[in-house]
Amino acid sequence: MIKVEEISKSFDGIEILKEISTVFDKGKTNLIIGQSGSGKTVLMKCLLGLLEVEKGNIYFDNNMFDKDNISALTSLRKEVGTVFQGSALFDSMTVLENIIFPMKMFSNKTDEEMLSRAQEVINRVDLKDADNKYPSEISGGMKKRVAIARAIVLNPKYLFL
Amino acid sequence: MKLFFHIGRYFLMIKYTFTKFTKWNVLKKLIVKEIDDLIIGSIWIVAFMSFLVGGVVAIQTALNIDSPFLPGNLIGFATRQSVILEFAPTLISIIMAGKVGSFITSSIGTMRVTEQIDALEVMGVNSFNYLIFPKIISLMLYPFLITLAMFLGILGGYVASVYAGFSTSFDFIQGIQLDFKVFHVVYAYIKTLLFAFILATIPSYHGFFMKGGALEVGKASNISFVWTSIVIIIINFIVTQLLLA
Repeated sequence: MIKVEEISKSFDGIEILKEISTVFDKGKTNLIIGQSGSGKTVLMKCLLGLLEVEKGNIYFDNNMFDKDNISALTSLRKEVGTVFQGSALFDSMTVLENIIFPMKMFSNKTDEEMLSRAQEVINRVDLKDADNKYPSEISGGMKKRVAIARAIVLNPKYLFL
Repeated sequence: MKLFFHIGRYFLMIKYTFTKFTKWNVLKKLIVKEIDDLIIGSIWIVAFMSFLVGGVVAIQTALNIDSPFLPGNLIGFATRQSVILEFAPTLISIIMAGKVGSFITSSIGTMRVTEQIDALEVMGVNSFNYLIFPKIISLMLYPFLITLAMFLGILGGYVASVYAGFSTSFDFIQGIQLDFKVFHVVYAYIKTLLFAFILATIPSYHGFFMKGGALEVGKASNISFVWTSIVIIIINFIVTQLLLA
């Protein structure tokens, strides 16, 4: 469960988020709808800690999100999978390397286990014959699928799309 | 006041670079890649520049000491001193601020604008350590490039002065050996290591904290080159004052 308590965020004096409060329940798919520029991405970035909120608090499973507590932040982020608007794939890595990357960083799996898990998520997003291609060589839709595969490869507790 | 803000943030960046290390298996591949990009990829330009500038130093020295009272070995001596003390460590570092520095700023800056750094951070990766630490380590091999620059600079001076008839081979080699002080080489390498750290970190800072899009990546590379060069010149002055004055 993610609880948002009266968070506010502004840029250059323009208030984008104004005392937003909401609860994202466990096991549910929550949807945020709004006009372009209404602050959907800003809210997501605040939840992820990429932007610092000026007021209010964010709780992940009743634990307050504290940007200054590095170790707590790191362990929380390992439980989060994120798909960015522009996919944010690593240019210097192939599709397969992009998907394997989170496992390389945070799991103790062997190369065979990582490959097998990567293949599993590749099949799940229906991505064919793109393993050895670089992000610049695939279409926008395929990039999104790679980003989704990378986000779910560690079975995250929270998935932000 | 903004300058102090940037200086403070730069040192915080250095602090975060040396905390929460990336897995060694991942890090060692990144270091090898950076050595290839930053060091191996710079050999040709360093070799080319050093040889020709060494030749120019020798010719200009020869033209300025056109007196029968000055010994013939002075061209070799002056070329060696100029190349070892100043040309190889400082001038090459300013050239590298353009080549390597711009590359670092634009590659990190592009990662910033395409949200790749955000992606690293939300995964729980310390993006400072992941991106900057391998660059610092690979540039610790920078003295290798400077050694090459010293050797080729003096060789360029030898070729230019001997084959253009300004000096004999014997005189030039005698000049190279004349009054040789090991400490001058030590001083050059101390400077080189400091410049290597600057070359890795200041361009990284400008890439890491840039805002905007593709156009701003270009602007950040430009600003990065200017600031890297300025800091190299300032550090050069301070180190020379401390060690040689």
